[in-house]
Order: sequence, then C-alpha cells, then structure tokens
Amino acid sequence: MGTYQCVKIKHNSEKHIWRWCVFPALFLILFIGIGPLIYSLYISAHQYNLAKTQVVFKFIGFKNYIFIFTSPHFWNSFKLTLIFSAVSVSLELILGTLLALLLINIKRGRNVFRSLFLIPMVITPIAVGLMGRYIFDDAVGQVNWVFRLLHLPRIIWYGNIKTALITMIILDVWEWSSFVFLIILAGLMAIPPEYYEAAKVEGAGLFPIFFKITLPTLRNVYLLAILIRIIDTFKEFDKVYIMTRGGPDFSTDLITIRNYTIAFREYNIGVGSALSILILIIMIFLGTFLIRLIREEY
Amino acid sequence: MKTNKILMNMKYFLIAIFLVLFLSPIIFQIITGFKTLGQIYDPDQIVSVKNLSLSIWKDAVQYQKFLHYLKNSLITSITSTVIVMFFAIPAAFGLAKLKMGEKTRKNLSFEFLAMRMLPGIAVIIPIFVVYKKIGLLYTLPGLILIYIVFNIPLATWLLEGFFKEVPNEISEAARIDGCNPRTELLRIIIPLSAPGLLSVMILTYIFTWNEYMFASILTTSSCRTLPVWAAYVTYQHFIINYSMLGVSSTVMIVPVIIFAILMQKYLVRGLSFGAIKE
Repeated sequence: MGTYQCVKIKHNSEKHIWRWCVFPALFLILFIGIGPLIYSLYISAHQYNLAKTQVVFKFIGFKNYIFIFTSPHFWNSFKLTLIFSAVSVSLELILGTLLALLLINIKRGRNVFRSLFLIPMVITPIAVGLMGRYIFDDAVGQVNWVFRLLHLPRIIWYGNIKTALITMIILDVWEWSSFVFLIILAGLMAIPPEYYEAAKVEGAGLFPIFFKITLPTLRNVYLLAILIRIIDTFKEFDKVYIMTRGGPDFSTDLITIRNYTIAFREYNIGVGSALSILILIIMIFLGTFLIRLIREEY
Repeated sequence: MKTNKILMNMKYFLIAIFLVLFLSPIIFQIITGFKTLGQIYDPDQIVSVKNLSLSIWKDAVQYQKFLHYLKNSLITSITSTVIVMFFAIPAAFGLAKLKMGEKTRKNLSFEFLAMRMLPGIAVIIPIFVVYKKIGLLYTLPGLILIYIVFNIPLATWLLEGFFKEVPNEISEAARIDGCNPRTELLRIIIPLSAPGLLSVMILTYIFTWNEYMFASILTTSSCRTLPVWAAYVTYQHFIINYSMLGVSSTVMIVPVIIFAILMQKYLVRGLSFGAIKE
C-alpha cells in the first residue's frame, strides 16, 4: 500500500513537470511572437506615420487595406513575387533533380561533393546579394567577362528593367538548387533497390523508370521541397534588397521589399502593418499545407 | 562495361561543371578583398589573381572599425544561441519524454513548428514601435531578444526529434535506478543526443549570424552586426566599393562554410524542419 501511494504521488507530480519545461519557451514566443501580431492588427486600422508629425494617430477602419488594394505598386509587387517564386522554384526543382540523379550512383567522393554543394545555401544571404552585385556588374563582373569571351553582347544585368528580375531569379537558383538537390538525394537513397531491379527485369527504359518509379515514390519529398521553397521565396528579402532595393523602376519590388519600403523608408506604419497582415495571411495559407505534410511524414 | 566507364566519366565531368558554377563566384568574391580598386576596375584583370595584397584588410581594421562589428556579431550570435538552448532543451525534453496527454503533446509540438513559419516582416513593425517606446531600439539586447524568440521554435522542434530517438527503455531503466526527470535529462538524454544538440546549436548560430532584416531595422551606427556593416561599408558615399565588399563578405561566410561542412549530415534535416532524416 505504501509503495503504491509513493508511486502515485510521483506519477502525479510528473504530470505537471512538463509544464515547467515547456511553458517558459511557449510563453516567450507567444508573448513576443504573437503579441506583436495583435498590435499590428490594431495599428493597421489606424492612420499612423512616424515621418509626418502633423498626421495624427487616428482610427480609419479599413482605409489602409483599401489603399493597398487600389495601389498599382501593390499589384505590381504581388505579380513580381508570384513570377519570382514560380520561376525560381521550378528551375530549382529541375536543377536539383538533375544533380541528385547525377550523384546518386557515384560512390567515390559523394560526401565531398555534397559538402561542397551545400555551401551556397548556408552562406550569409547578404553576402550572396553582394556577390551578385559584383559578378553581375556590367563593367567589372565575371559574368560579362565570360560573355565577352564567348562574343555575346554585354548585358546590364540588374540596372535594367528587363533583366533585373531575371538576375534575381538566377541568383536564387544559384543559392537554393542545392537545397532541393540534398532533399531529393536523401529521398532517392531511401528508395529500396528492389524497385529498380524489378523494373529492369521487366525491361523498362531510363525515362519510364524515372517517371513511373522515382517520381511517384518521391511525391512527398517533392511536395516538401516545393512548399519550403515557395514559402522562402515569398519571404525573400535580403539579397534582392541589397542588390536593387526594389529598383530599377519597381522591376524587382517584391512584396516584402514593398512592405519594408512603406514602413521603414516612408515610415508609413499604418499601411505597412496592413500589408504585413496580408502577407501573414498568405503565409498561414501556405504554412498550413506544409505542416499537414510534415505531420504525415513525422 | 566500357560504356559504363564512359558514362561515369561524363557524370564526373558534369559534376565538375556544376561545382565551378556554384563555387567560382564565392572564390572571386573572396579574392576581391585582396585586390585594390585599381586592379578591380582594370578590364584585363577581372579574373586574374596576381599581385594580391592585404592593404584593404588593413583599411577595414584601421578605418572601418571592422573588429568592433565582428565583436557585435559574435556577442549577438553566441548569446542568442546559448539562451535559445536554455529554453529549447527543457521544452523539447518535456514534449519528447515527459508524461502528458497525447493530444496536448501533438498540438503543442506543432505550435512550435507553426511559429517557425511566421514571416519576420509581419512582426517587425509593431516590435519597432514598441522598442522605440521602451528604449530597446538600436541596442544589442533588443536584437538578441528577437533572435531568441525567433529561433526557439525550430530549435525546440528539432531537439524534440533528436530526444525522441533516445530509446524509451533507457529512460525507463534510469527511472527505476532512481533518476528524476532533471537527472534523466542531464545524465541520459543530453549525453546520448550530443551530436544532435551540437548541430541544433550550430544551426541556430548560423541563422543568427546570417540574419539581416531585423538587424538592419533594429540597429544603427555602433551596434551594427556584420551583415548590416557589410551592406553599409559597401555602399558608403553612394559608390559601391568592391574591395570592401570582398573583405566584409569573406568575414561573414568563412565561419559559416566551416560550420556547414562540419555538420553537413544534420544540415538538411535542420533546413527541412526535421522531415528529412538520414
């Protein structure tokens, strides 16, 4: 009887120990992560400009949101973000798959190659932006040097409305293809070799094997890569901001850069908050899908 | 057999091309820090590596107070990482090993993951306003606080995965031998998941070291971190200074590259929210 009670007390006290463990972290992120969002929602319904002292802080309802939806800059940003995200992610998927297929059967040096390929995605995004600034420079950059070597025309990469967004996409593909590659490679290595042997016995060719076996088995891996990359490209800020600040003539003005410009260069906090709430809604939408997927995997 | 060998050589050749495409820009960027502006603007020396010198590095140390910003970055990243672990380890331990309702466990655990998806731009505006009111704006502690909050979720989520990999039988055996939850965490769980713990620390360190947006908004003049300083010195006086670009970028990326190669095994897991394990 005595032992039983002892065990019971121990059991009861342990029931609450997890609270002491989990709640400090949880409260901290709720207080400083979620608290500001509520404040942001509140500000977004007000007229609030830090640069103009004559503008008073007052309630204006949905006017900030209406301002955003009627502004051509917002729709331009939204369109650019969609293009940037769609094109970058597709190219990264193709390149990443290609690299993974190249490396899957290589025994010698695979780990070395893998470590080398992961360098672009871990280095500081600001350094990537600065690097882009340098190698795509129209006069002293290495890209135009190669173009001159091949007798191709000199291109003004990021100083030109037509090619600025393309430059950003190239840079993003350079930075993140290896991420897709590493995910896909891990997925490929997890496919049981019996699948391929069976297909070979049946006499299937290289392409049917890829489309009938590899792709379907890797369905979730691809979905994961796509979702993470879409979310990240929607959040893209650092390297584009450091290269062009959204210019020239709004041709690289992604939605986060628009938000930054409104809030911290024009100091229009009210409209900035409203836009950030809109971005948050898009992210929640994408994030829900991603979390469902990871939940299945986990 | 022979065609196989040709195919293999072709593969190595293609990999070599990709490696050049992926790595040469970084190498050029690092080399730039050792060239003078005259060499950089000479069209015949765009890819040359002759006559490299340390003069720009001396400039950076002497006139641009580069060591001061390096110190800022180190303080910010190390402090944030330590405090993140201080909060994340117990939280992950609670979620992975302690008794609680299965539903609560799942919901709490995904609460942490969901927080990771929060876009920084969505919370930075109110934080800026509040910091301005309470005097935390343009101070390092203010920045560190944000880094802590934004890195706890992923750290907790990943650590939970690592702790779960410690077999329950070991924990149970420890309990029978008289361990309470605290000693179980300190003597069993932490030593057994040391590599995972280290990789989460390095990942948190890399994230805080690389962060730019918060730092650019919440710091100014003397409390800048390296990325903000790099952006600033490169564009000083509205002229882009490619030598300084090389120096500042090198300082930022070299430690990260070393860390990344050391923990390559865990990096993919960290960046894919723990969904990809090897």
